[in-house]
Amino acid sequence: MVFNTGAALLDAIVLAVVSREDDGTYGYKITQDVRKALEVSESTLYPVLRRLQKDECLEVYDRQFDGRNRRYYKVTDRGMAQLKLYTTEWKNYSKKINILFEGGVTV
Amino acid sequence: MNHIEFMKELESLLQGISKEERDEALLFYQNYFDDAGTENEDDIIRELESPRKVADTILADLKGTEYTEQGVKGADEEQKDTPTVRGETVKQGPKTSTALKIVLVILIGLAAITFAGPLVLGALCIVFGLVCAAFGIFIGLVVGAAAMMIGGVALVILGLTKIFSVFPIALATSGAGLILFIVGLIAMVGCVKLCMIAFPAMVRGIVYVCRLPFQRKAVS
Repeated sequence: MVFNTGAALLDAIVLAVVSREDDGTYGYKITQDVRKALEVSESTLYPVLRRLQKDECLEVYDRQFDGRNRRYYKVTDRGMAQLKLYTTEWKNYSKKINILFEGGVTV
Repeated sequence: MNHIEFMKELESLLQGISKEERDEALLFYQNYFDDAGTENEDDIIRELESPRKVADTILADLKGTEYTEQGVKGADEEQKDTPTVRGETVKQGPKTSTALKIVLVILIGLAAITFAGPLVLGALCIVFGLVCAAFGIFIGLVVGAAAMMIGGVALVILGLTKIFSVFPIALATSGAGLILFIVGLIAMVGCVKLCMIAFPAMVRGIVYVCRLPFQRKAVS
């Protein structure tokens, strides 16, 4: 990918991916979903998840699956507010960039 | 390398961080391998590159947030400890120390006055002397300039008294007197100007120094 993804954007993407599942989702699936859209190395996502968890944007719980514990991530209310903020910011940001790219044509 | 070896190496590389952080990270990657399935194990390990790289990513992120993490931990501890430890110290405070403290402070104050009093007095005298000397130097300069002017005037008068008897000497004397007077005048003006600058500055400096102890008390 030509453009690099900053920490805030990565946070936003992970929040968006996790928020799509009402019951929460797990690390491997989150990684695969993010990687569908974005070329990120598999090792970058754990710190993002851990950070969001510490910031109380994500909560975790363990659920039995296939005779073992699987850790699930779920977006908290705070995480939802944060995601909303990110979405608005992204809309404004991308709109401005689009205007620049398309020579002043408002999309 | 299979995923068990990978996890073992990762664990040993994460020895430097807290057990909580290490367990979290290991659980995540254990989950990751389990969910990817054995058939994808080689791909995952290739993707992750090496336990070293995974560990470095975790460590780098922890370093970045180490401060806030400690802050959060500190806050937690404080919240937990406030009701017990702080309450105890607060209780202990008034019981043991107030009366004792006052007595101690008075004793220390008395001792300080008896021992340090002469020293402080001596130091104050030295400072006072230095200040007077500084003022004296400037006043001396002004007086010196004034003396030059007076001397000049006197020479002119002396010269004028001889004007009818020895004309050339009278001329020379009164001329020298005029020059002396002019030089004295210039010196006078210069010195007075210098004093106008120096005295207020010195006074301000003294006032500032005198204020210092009071300001310090006010701050503490």
